[in-house]
Amino acid sequence: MRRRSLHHAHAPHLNVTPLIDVVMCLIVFYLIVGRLALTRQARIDLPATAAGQVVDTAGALIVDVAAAAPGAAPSFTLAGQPVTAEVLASTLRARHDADPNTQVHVRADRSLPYSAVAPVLDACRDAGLSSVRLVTERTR
Amino acid sequence: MSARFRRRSALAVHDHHVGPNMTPMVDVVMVILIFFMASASIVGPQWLLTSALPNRKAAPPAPGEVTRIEVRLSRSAGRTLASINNQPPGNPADVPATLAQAAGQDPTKLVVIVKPEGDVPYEDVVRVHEACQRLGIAKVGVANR
Repeated sequence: MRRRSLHHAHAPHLNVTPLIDVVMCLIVFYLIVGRLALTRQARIDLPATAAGQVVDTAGALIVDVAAAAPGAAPSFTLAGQPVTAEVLASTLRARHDADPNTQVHVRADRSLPYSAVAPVLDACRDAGLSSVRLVTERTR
Repeated sequence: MSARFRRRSALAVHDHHVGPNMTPMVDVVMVILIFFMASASIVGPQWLLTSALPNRKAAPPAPGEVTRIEVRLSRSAGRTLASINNQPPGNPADVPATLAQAAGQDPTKLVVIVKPEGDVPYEDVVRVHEACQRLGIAKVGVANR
């Protein structure tokens, strides 16, 4: 009877199933993060500055002013919801009446003319806000 | 029969692998992962510049308490021009130096009001705020012209 060597080792087999589980989790993570970033950032190219303040943004109202197609009016977004200038003004007034310490952060695209951002500042002024915060991207 | 020559079943000797080959699936999943990593938007760190909104009805501060500087931004021939306190329009890059000179030892007594025209890029308005932030001028605001 031919003797079989006990050291006749077959190639070690790597169990890839846990690796697939981890990779699937990473895919789901990047799917969710990508969607959240898209909805929150709303295609706005912020001006880059080398000076600014780091302020707690909790509870602040975020107004986005995004550039639209050439010739089209810019779009306003309040807390992620598209709004018109009139709705923006009334909402800011209501929020300021409810909480005089309301902070408004304005995120506007750098390519916009000031006339596109002025309605937001006017709405804030008419609502009784004494100041707003302009959000910029920190340059390294 | 001796234990050394005990007959072994082929199944006991070889690790019989059943089920689908997972290696191509791992390759596909890796490609998908790299795709989503590349397409995810990378958001840089952000910070804020405070801009006051002067109330038209509010009384102006008494002279002597603060030094008021008006920076008027206008647009001409595709370039932004800056005029400080009704002086002839000049290069906006000169605004920080002028503000620094006016701020002197106490930037807290300086009030800068930015009055941009409608066609001035928003970025230029932010630049003036940035210059004030660098110089420690806290009272800076935007007013309509």
